[in-house]
Amino acid sequence: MKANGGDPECYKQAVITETSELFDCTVRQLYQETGGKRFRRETLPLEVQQAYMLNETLAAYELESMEGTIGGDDQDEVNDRINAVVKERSKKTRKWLPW
Amino acid sequence: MSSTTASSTMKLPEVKKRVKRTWDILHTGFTVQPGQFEQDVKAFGDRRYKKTWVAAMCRYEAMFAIESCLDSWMLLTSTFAFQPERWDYEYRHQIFDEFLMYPEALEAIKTGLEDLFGKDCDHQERKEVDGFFKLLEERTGENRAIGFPIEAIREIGGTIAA
Repeated sequence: MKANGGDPECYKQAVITETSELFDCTVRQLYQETGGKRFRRETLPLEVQQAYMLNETLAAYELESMEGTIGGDDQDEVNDRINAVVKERSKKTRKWLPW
Repeated sequence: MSSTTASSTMKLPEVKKRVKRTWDILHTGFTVQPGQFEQDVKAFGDRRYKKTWVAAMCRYEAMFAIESCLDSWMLLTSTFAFQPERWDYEYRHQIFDEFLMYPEALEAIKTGLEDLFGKDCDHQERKEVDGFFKLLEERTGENRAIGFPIEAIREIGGTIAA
């Protein structure tokens, strides 16, 4: 994400996007509803951790193959383009998940 | 990439744009009613004044920080590791003040520190936390200290990283 020009906002946006696409909820709801200890990913159910790991690995792989080609007129545009990749990846990953 | 740096004060249109953008991200996956954004900003005051929009921006940025937090250490190595070239540098203390209003804020910072200095984070990740330590240092002696002795944390970090 960083190699493609994404800033800290981009990362935060990506977490919200992938959580919404993969689990139909917010990060806060995910922790609350699964009984995980907030801010500690390793306390989420294993299936949830695996879904994140799979999606983030594949998104990182796709972004890596696009390095240097994303571009944009300003930081917001770069972030939006990176997030569009994360969103599309998350939609595909979701189809493999049992829920 | 961003046109806004710490040396230039953000102009009202930029602040408004940032508020709308962050508000939109925070409403990802939610159905938004027409006029809801305007109504939400109105709660911060008169929308003709920049201070109203700055207050909204700082509140929403803090909300963005906590609502997107999957791993607490990211708050310290990225979200609050403010650097002068970042667009939000100018408002870093106000954003952090808003963040500290959340009851779970200190727990998040504590968890992040434990992860960074007690577990398997690498040297680079520990180095990235410097921007956060600097933020805390700037607050020492003001009424904005958060209760963690910053020098002690740095020393522990240095010992572990060595």
